[in-house]
Amino acid sequence: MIATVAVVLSWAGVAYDVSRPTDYRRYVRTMVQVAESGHDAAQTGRLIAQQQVDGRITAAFGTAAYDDAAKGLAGAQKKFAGEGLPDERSQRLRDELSPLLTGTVVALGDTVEASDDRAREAGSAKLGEFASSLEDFIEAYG
Amino acid sequence: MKKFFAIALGILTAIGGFVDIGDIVANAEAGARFGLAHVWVLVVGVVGICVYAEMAGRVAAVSGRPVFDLVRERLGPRMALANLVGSLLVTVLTLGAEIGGVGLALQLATSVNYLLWVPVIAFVLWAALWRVKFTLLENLFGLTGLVLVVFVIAFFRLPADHAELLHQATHPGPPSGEDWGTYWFMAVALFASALTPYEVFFFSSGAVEERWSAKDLLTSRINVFVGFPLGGILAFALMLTSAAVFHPLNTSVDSLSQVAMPAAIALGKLGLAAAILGFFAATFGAAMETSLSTGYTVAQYFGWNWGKLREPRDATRFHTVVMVGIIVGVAVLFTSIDPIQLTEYTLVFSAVALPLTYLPILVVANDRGYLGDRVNGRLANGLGTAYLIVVVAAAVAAIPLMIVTRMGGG
Repeated sequence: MIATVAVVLSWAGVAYDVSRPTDYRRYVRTMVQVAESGHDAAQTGRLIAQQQVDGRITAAFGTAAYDDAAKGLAGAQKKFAGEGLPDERSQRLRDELSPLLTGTVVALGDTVEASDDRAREAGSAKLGEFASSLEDFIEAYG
Repeated sequence: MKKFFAIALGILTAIGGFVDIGDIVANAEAGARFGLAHVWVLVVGVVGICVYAEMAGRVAAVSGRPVFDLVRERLGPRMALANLVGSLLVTVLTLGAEIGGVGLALQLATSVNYLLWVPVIAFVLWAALWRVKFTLLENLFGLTGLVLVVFVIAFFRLPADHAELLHQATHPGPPSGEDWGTYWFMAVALFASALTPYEVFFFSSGAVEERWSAKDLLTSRINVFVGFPLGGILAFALMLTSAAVFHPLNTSVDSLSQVAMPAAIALGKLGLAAAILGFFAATFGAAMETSLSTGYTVAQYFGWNWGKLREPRDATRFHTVVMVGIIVGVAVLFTSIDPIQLTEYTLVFSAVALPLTYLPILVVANDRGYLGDRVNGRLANGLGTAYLIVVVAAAVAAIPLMIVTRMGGG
C-alpha cells in the first residue's frame, strides 16, 4: 500500500514537473543544457577531425563517431526548438544561443563532408571556436 | 601444474569478464564529467562485489546448489518471487543493453548502424549458448576482454595533468558546473555497475555447473579476490582516460565512440582496434552471462532442470527462457532507445533491485543447515552487513536522484 502511494505520488510529481508552464529560470536551465550538448558535439567533432588528420582513426570509426556527435547536436536542436518563450528576457537568451547552435551544425556538417586534411583542419578550428563561444554562454548563464 | 594453469586461467577470465556495458558507460561518463572524484565509489563497489561473490561462490561450492535455489527454500516462495521479479527485470534490461553494446562496437568497426547488427548478434548469441561449450565461451570472451588493458597503456601515453588527477581523486565532490545531486546520481550508477545482480547469479550457477566442491573454495577465492580487483583496474582505466581527455575540455561522454577516442589519441589505429575488440568481447561475454542468468533465475525458482551443461532436450524450459530473454532484449532495442541511455536506466533500476539480491545471499551464507562450519565469519558478516546498508541507501536514493537530477542532466 505504502509502495503504491509512493509510486503514484512520484509519478504525479514527474507529471506536474514535465507539464507545468515554463518560466524564465526553467528556460535558462534548458538553454544551458542545449548549449552543453552543442558544446560537447563541437568538441567531439573537433577531436575526431584532429585524429583523422593525424591518421589515428579508421574511416569507419570516423563515420560512426561523427554520427554520434551529429545525433547529440540534433537532440540539442530539438530541445531548443521545443521550448516555448515565457517572456522577453528569454527571447534575448534565445537570440544569443541560436547563431551559436546553427554555426555548430554548419561547422560539423562541413567537417564531416571535408574531402581533404586542409578542409578538416579548417573545420576543426571552426568547431573549436564554437565550442569556446558555447562555453562562454554556459559560464554566463549556468 | 595443471591446477596452477586452471587458477591462472580463472583469474584472467575473471579480469577480462569483469567489465560490461554498465562499467564502460558509468566509468567513462564519471571520468569525463567529474574527473577522478568518483574513484572511491569504484573501490567501494569492487570490494562489495568481492565480498558477495565470495559468499555466493562458497554457498554454491559447499552446498552444491546455487544461491537462488536456496533463497526460495530458505526464505519462502514470496520473498524469492520478489527477488526473482526484481532481478529478472534488471537482468533482461541489462541483456538488451549488452546486445546494444555489441551492436555499437560493431558499428564502430564497420560504420553499419547498430540496429542492423542486433538480429545477427541475437542469433549468434543464441546459437553459441545452444551449441558451444560453456568453458570455451567463458575463456574465449574473458581472455579477449583483456585487450581492454589498452586503456591502461593509453593513459601513460596521454598528456595528462597527473597532479590535477591526484587532486580530484583525493578531494571527492562535484567540480564547478556540477552539483551534489548529479554527483550522487553518478555515484549510485557507478556503484550499481560494479554490483550488477546478474554477476552473482552467474557466478554461483556457474560454480554449480562446473561442479565445484569445498575443495574448490581456494580457487573460487583467488578468482574473486585477485581477478575482480584487477578487472576493476580495467574499469578504472576507462574512467582515467576519459578524465584525462574529456574532463579538461568540459565535455560529457554519451557515446561508445567517445569512450574509444582516448585509445586512438594515444595509440592510433592499433589502439583503436584493441579498444573496439575489447568492447566487443566485454559486451558479448556479458550478453552470454545475462542470457544464462535469465534462465538460471527462472528455472531455479520453479525447480526446473537447468544448466548449460545439460543437453537442451533435458532442460527445455531453461533454454526457452534464455531464448525468450534474448528476444525481449532485442525487442527493447527495437524501440530505438539508445543503448547508452538504456544502460543508464538499467543501472538506476539495478540500484533499486540490489537489496533483493544481496540480503538473501547474506541470510543463506549464515545458515549452518547449508554451509555447516563454512558459514560467514565475523569479517564476512561485518563487511556483508556494512555493504547491505550501503546497498539499501543506494536503492532508496536511486529513483529520487533520477527525478531530481533529470537522469543526471542537472
